[in-house]
Amino acid sequence: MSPDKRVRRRRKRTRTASRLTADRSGTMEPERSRYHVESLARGLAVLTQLSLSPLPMSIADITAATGMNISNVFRVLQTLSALGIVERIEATKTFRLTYRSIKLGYNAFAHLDIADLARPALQRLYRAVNESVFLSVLAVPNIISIVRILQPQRLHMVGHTLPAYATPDGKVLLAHLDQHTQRLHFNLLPQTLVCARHTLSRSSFISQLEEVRAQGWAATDEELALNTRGVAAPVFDRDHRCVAAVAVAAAHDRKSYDFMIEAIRPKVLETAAEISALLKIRYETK
Amino acid sequence: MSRSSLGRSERSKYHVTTIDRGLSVLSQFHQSQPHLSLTEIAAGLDCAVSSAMRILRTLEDLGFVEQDLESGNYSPGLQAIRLGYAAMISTDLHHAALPIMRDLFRRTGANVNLDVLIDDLACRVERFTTEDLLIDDFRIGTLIPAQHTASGRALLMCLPSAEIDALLRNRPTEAVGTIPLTPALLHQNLERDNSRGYVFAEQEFGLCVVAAPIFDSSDKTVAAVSVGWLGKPTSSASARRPYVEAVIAAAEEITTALKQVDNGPVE
Repeated sequence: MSPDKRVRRRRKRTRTASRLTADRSGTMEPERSRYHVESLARGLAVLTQLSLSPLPMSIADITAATGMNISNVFRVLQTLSALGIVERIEATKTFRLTYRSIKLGYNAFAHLDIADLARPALQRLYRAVNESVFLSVLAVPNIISIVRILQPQRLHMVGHTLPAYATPDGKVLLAHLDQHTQRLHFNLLPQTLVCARHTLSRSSFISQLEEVRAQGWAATDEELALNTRGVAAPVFDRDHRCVAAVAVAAAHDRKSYDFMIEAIRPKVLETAAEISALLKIRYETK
Repeated sequence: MSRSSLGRSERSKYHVTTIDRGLSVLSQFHQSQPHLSLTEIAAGLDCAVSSAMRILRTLEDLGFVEQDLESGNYSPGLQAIRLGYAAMISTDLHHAALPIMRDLFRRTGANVNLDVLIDDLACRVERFTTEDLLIDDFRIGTLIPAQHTASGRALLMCLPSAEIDALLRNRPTEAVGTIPLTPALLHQNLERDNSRGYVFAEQEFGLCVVAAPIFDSSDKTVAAVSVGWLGKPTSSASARRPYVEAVIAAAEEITTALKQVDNGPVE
């Protein structure tokens, strides 16, 4: 495969959580790569439909949802039943996934930490924007980056921990804290916050955070250091708690502020949504 | 291990081999091995790297595996993970058990768990946990050899002994703590558990667990409900009595709820 083709194929594979459901919902699209194994793809399309349906599905339901012909659907169901992944409910002549399907990925996934499960999505973001990508959590008054994919040519002003108030991911994380915890943390902030280009009062910072929470993202323009700007979006768990933030940081001479907001921000939001979608199907302590 | 790793393998003339192989790849990922290299996957499938590559590309195109670009290793993708999730949350068992488990959690303040049997493994499919009992780190989706946990034994205890032997045939005898669990000892334990209707076990870090089986309308064991709490070492039978009573009552309630779903009209 020529490098060119590889890039194109990769680009094709860059997609978002929402498109995952739409695109992969089963209709048999033309080949995606020359390696594509059609008969396996049909099996996976049926499995995907069964996982999306809240109720068991009949052969007719599956045929309609996948756009496959009935004899292929029949063969796939025979195979999946023989493997014990799908079972037929005699009374209703419908099919559903069995507990055995937990062995096909969920079991491994349950034991990945958030950095591991987010990494592929973050790598796709890095490929799409070609700027440094971070996944960070809050350790007031700082943030800690648990995943960092660094653009080799950027100016480095990055440690593992950075002051939360001067970073886009820090703002996102502070903005989504519950009110009680937020108040505790705000009391720890100095009255005047010193940024690279300006200072701001604690109260105006707090109102800035309200805006961040309302809009669902944050940006910084040379606040941490004179030469960096960044944009970040929140990652939520299944209880809608913001547990991490995705950020892209770029050197000021590589990306304009407008470009950060218009071109990069939507991609950061997509990636954050993709990671949230993974966390949503993961059980943690209740 | 590859072909048979998913269990049953009666082949019909309709059998689609590539589906079998694709799912064999997915079943190679497990809790202690969530990332695999191409070489490892090919070895597990017992096939050439190029054939494994074709299967992986197809799985990747459809979101069933993800590739880490730094290491080149694969891990399960969103679509694969969703299968297990859908299987867990959409069952009648889950609907029937959830409110009763929540109530049990509220009343006992202990960890409350629901497990099902997958082949010879106990799989946790629901749990309620208190923050200070995180030592019980059996996350949802965790698979553990059934004979090693109280919930696993509750899943086994009502099975005919021939069936138990068949299930555990492939498992070497492993030690549990300091006591080697021989088949004879396991059967003896299960008989005792069966006669009293619940399992009690003291696990690591002083975690005490009581588990009881749940049955469907044909009186087959379909799940086990359990509570876990921090007990004193060698805690007396009277200390655990309230937990035992609560768990048995909850198991009966879930069984009743499940039978109503099975028999009653479904909307």
